[in-house]
Amino acid sequence: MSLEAAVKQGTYRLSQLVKLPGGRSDAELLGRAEGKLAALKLQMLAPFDLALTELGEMAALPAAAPTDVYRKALIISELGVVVGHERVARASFLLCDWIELAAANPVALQRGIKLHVNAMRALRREATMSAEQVALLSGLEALAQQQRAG
Amino acid sequence: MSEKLNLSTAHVLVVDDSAPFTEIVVQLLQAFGVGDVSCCQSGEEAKARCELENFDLILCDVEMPGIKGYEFIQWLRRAAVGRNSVAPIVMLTAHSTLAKVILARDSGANFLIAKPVEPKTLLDRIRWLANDVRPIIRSATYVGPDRRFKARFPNPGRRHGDNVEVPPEDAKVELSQEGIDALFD
Repeated sequence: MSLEAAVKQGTYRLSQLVKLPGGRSDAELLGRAEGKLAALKLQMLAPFDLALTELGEMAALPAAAPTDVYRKALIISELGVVVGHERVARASFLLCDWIELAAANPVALQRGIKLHVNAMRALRREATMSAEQVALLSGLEALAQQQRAG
Repeated sequence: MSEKLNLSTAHVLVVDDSAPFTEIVVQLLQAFGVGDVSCCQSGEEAKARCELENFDLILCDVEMPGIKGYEFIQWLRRAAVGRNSVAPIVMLTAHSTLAKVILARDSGANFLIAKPVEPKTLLDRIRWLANDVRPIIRSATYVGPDRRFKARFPNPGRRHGDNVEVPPEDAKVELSQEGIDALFD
């Protein structure tokens, strides 16, 4: 790799300003962040459920638009962890995977979208982890693994 | 024990098309004491913003409609827009497959964080950036932090080249945060 120029070292203004007096320790900053996340958990539940409803509507169309479904699923997978619905988040993540991996097969793509969305609804309904939920999520994981290998 | 961190005068840009996720990141940055947080929902908006303002840190999603995050970073590193072309950049991704991690790294980002963002992961990256003395290098194919040297302990120093061919089956493998860091460091 040929170098055309090199910017002088240590040029980040960030490096200087973080050292200014009045800073806080990591423990203090992380404590404040955890407090914010706890407050967000309640605040983000409505957007999470709304996104899930909208995803259901998209999946109900005869031919769901994969890009739109992907973007919505991405939001659900991000919010799911914040609001404590990790299983729904994981299923949503696997839906994104499915859309990427099954892109070349439109029939399988659409079937997979419906399957994942139905599974996510079922996972959202129950607050506690049941044997059915474990089986449901394991099935989606196995499907993704098979798709990746294939 | 780590030194105290003062971010009260930092101006941070968050670029993400997901409004709820942006809100989470903004809340975390405010909890860390960041004085000024600006948000953009697209690469196009971020480009316009970067032509007008200087940022001390940029957080950018990899996957966005329109201009992708890595395309925005590539543009920013090559553009002569204030000090933003050498600003520290952390990319964020929900899908940390090997192919995407390499794409983000080669675009010139300093670090990549897997979503959902853990507060400690973000704080650690900010601290690493504050201590990062690697220069930004410019070549025909890459503009970004000098990756020929490891940035962090315990093994700082010369590293091997990272222009490794990735087999297609490996490109789909999802990496952990540690796996991502190993490729960036």
